[in-house]
This record gives sequence, structure tokens and C-alpha cells, in this order.
Amino acid sequence: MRLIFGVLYTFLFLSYITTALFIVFHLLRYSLDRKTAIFGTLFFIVVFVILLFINALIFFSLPFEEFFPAVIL
Amino acid sequence: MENTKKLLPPRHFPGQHENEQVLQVIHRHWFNITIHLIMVIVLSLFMIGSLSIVPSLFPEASDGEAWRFFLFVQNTLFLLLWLYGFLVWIDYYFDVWIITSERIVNIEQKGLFTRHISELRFARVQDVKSTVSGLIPTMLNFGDVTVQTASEEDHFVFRQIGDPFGIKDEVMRLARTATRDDMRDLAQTLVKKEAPTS
Repeated sequence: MRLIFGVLYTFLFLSYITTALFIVFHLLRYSLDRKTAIFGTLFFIVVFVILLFINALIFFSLPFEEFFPAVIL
Repeated sequence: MENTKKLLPPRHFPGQHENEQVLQVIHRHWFNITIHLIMVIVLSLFMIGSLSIVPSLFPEASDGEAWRFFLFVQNTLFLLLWLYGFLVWIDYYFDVWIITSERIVNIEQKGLFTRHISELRFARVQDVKSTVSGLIPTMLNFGDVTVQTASEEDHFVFRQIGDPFGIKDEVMRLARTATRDDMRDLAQTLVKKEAPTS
């Protein structure tokens, strides 16, 4: 069970990171104003990293065996 | 310091000419992004509120695995909202019209993967029309400005921008100046050509 959720979560995790990379690319590449580019990117990255870190931390602390005791994988 | 200013000009866009000055950078009116962001803000407030409401409604679920699972779902939704909020911001902020000393540049951003850049020289401007329609646009003073070019089929539209009448006047003024400069250049060229024969 943990394996299945692990694979699904890895896919989700990579999707978050890919989307975030595209957003950072746009903020840095297309901003007309340097200050906006730097401030916007920093603001986005800091909050994103904190949220992602907490998300991973909570995910790995979830007891999947207790949620789905009948399924053993 | 001077070199730094040259390297990092305060306003810059791809394809900007050497002596071209950016006069105005126009985004869509803030009301456009507010509509989209209201959903993000309401959902965020709802989730923050649920962090204190859920434990009081379901005391048995406020600790242990169920609570951790609830926090995981909350955090995932926050993460998705954060990404969505920035995607909305990119769509708004990078959709831009730049009025320079030489031309109008329209940069249109649609999502992350579609970006159109077009330009119009002031000398080609024939007519400018501004439209404000509806209750909220009238109250907040935003609407469309349509710039008709020399070719009848082409036109440039500034969509949902603030102060459309002011922008229309500015474009008309710059177009008149450009036409006058063109006429002066033409007259000077003609005088130069005729000068050796007389």
C-alpha cells in the first residue's frame, strides 16, 4: 500500500516542481522590471518550498497500513 | 553605477531599440485579476477557518492519524492554490501593452505556453477609439481602446485597461507627433534632392 501511494506521491511531487520551475522561468525571463522579477521569484520560491517541505513531511508520517489494513503490498 | 543602469534598465522588453524610451506600461485593469483571485482568497480563508472549526466540531478527529491526514489534504490544497494563484498572476501581469517613444508593443500571454508579441508604429495609426461599457467598468473607469491602422483590416486592441480615454488621447498625441516628424523628414529629403539643381 505504501508503495502505491509512494509512486503516486512521487508523480504529484514532480508535477509540483515542474509547474514551479515553469513559473520561476516566466517570472525571471519575462518580467519587464528587474525588482519585480527578483522579489516575485523569491516570494514564490520561499512559500512554495515551505509548503512542499511540510507536505512531504506529513505524507511520510501517514500510517497507510492503518488506513488500509486489508490490503498488503 | 552608469554601467549597472545600462545592464539593468528600470524597464526593458525584448526587441527594445537602443534609444527607444518606454513611456507607459499598461496592464489590464486590476478588477480583472481580482475576480480570479477572489476564488483563491475565499478558499484560503475557508481552509484556515476549517483548521479551528474541525477540531471543535469533531473532537475525536483532532488528534492522531485522522488529524494528520486532514492536515495533509489541507497542505496539498494550499500548495495547489499557491501554484494556481501565480499562474493567474502570470496570465495577468505578462499580458501587457507598452507605449514607447516609437511604437506600441503588445505582449499577449495566454497560460504558460502561448505568448504573442506584435507592434504598431505611430506613423501607421489612423484612428483611435475607446469603449467603456457596463456598470462596473463605468464606475471603475476601465475598458477597451482600439487603434485602427493604415491597413483597414488591421487593428490593435488594448483590452480592459484602466483610464481608456486618457490612453486614447496619449496614443493620438504620439501618432500626430510621429506623422508631423515623418512629414518634416520627407520635406527635408525633398529639399536636399532639389538643392544641387537650383
